[in-house]
Amino acid sequence: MSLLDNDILTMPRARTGEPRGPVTNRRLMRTLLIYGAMWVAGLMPFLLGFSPFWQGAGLGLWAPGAGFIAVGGWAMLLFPLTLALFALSVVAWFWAGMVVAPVTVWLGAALVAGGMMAGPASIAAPAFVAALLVAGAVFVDRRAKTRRVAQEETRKSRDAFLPASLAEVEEMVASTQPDPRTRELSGEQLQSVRYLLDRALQPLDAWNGFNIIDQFQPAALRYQINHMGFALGIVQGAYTPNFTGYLGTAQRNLIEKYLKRKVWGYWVYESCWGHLNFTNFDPAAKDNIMLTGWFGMHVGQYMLNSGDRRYEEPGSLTFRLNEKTAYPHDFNTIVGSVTSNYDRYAKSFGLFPCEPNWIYPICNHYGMSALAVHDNVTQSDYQQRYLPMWLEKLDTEFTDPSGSIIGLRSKHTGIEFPFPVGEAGYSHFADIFAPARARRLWAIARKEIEPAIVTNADGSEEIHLPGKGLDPGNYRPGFVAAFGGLLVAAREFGDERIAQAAQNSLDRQCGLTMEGGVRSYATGSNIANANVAMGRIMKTGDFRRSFVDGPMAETKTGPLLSEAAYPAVLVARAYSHGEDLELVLHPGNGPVEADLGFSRLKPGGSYRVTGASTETLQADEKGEAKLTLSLSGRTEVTLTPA
Amino acid sequence: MPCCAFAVFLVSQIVWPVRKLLSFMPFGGRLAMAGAPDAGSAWRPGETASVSKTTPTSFFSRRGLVLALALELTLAGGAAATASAFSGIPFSPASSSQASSSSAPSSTAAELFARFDALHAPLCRSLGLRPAEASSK
Repeated sequence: MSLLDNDILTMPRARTGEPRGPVTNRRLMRTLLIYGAMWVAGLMPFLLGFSPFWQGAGLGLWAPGAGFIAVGGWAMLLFPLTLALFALSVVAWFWAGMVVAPVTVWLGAALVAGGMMAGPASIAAPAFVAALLVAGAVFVDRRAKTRRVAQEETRKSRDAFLPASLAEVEEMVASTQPDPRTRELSGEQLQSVRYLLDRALQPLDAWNGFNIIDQFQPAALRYQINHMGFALGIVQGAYTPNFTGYLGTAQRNLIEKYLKRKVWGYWVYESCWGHLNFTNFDPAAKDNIMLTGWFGMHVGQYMLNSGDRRYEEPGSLTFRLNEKTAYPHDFNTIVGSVTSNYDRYAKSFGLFPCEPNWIYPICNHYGMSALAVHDNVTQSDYQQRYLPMWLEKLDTEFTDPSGSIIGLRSKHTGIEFPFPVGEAGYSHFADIFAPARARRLWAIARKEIEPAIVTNADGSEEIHLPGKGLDPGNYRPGFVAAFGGLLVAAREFGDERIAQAAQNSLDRQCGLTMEGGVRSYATGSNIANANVAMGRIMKTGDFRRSFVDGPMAETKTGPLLSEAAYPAVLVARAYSHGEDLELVLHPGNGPVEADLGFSRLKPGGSYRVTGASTETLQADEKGEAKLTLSLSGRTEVTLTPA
Repeated sequence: MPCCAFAVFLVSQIVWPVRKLLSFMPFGGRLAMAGAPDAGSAWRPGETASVSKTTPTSFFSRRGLVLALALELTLAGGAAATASAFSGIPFSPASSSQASSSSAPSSTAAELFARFDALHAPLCRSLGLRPAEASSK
């Protein structure tokens, strides 16, 4: 089967009128049946005249802490307190995969209530709890119906604007493709790249400039590392395919920082309280696509754009727990963990969880992108094997009636929860493995953001979003993450109007800071700034290209700029047409006599040099040579075989 | 009435913490001052390491925790004090209307109070929140 022949790649599966997929329905039904059984079990002690202990514990099965109503008197205060504790335990479940937390609070409170019973419970107690639960169920049902109606309205509105918007996106994508042979980072773009390099070139144990809050949710170090890597991967592939030097070091530093226990150690805890697994903490085994999918994508992108294959070596990506225990992995086993989990979940939700229980479609987009880049690095056929099933499940189990992909779903209960991603957030990932679908996603996103675009007195456009925003990278208010996401998506599809509006909004609303030749946004987190830096260097299709194509074939045999000092020498362009080398360099800290090192020259070969005081360069028998040049502004340097 | 004091406390316990918890969730939250600079992204080479260790100003900050605890104790104390203040007052609708009229409010208010009391008194009695009618008379 050819991937291109498969309709599901271009069009989401037509909705059947069912608001939920069959697996979700079965899982919800199972959840309801289990709850129904708990209801019956809770009622029995009253009907059969069991001891007060069982009456209290039984009522506790109806709702967390409800057993305290049966105890009566001031013990009833424990009911709302238990509800609050239960809410907290659900947050822990969501936040850190602590599956045991809500179960423990619910059942534990039931047992405690049973133990507190001094005599038979009044029949008013179950009546009171039942009334509360019925009121709650009515409220939830009304909200669900209201939401469903709103989703249907959204779908109708999308159906109306989609054909025209999609045609515009197709046209923009086709007409704005960059010429890969002439690309060069501007001085302003280099300021954004420096934001990334400053952080990535620190020693492996240094974390300056990262947000260190928690390692479970979106502010975790792992996500910051991955997104910084994605941006540097685009620099490598699109602008400087023939520069290794500090750009390679920075990318490898990020990959190796990822192996620090500080980054992946969260999985030790999640394995214990989520999988009840107290012995094997291998982060690339069961679930955890938030690591395997993201990291696989990151390492694969580095390998594709740099040509460096070291991470295919067994044990090259080893997660060391302590002196005795390590989990040896490499690029193939990391991505292999993604495929084995897709196999495991193929007959249920298809997509698989991040934290134990929680399935996030966005993380599964990273996972599918990891398979795509693996195919392109190693010639595997993972996309062909997994993508049709994956898309089918995405359409049936993870898409709401408006056609939007849902935030997340509980694997155990089937219940859906909100999580802020949106069409724009998915679109550039989908562009890696299903570009036609990706363009549909952006065609929707761009029209739905349009009402928020305002025209200023000077004619420039800006996006005004409601509220105070939220930066998932530091859990603070702010719009850097939102504008950065729009910037990246708009650039991926050549939508320069929205890209410019997002850029204007960043510059005017988000605390633009220019210090020491580095550009950043003061109100944004590190990951939000990394994303913005990526958006600022991107042109149409860059995100996809960096995971699918990599650099042009002609660059892969040509000379390399392999040594340059950072930040004294900033590399805006390093491109070889096969035998020559074209460089554009900028001084990072004012005028400097820069020492450059070259490799992959013809052994013993002679090269004509332009842009430097030296006119010829002689390679040694290893194909290496050194050159010193004065750098005081943008400087073009070329090496051509003599 | 102790049961009404309890009802206020019950509602406060459900509504207040749940709202606070929801505000902590990423999709509903406002945790810190808008526009505050992020210490991580503000870092530049050569600066000390400590600036990058950002901690969110959240509901769970020390000050927030003390405030929450103080509020909780005030509410619980208020509920308990109200309960004990009312503990000597008879609970039947008739007697409570007498009690109200003796403390001077209008007869319409006393009647409303009595009707409201009659509505929920049986439930509160069966839940053990107020003494049985016979013993209170």
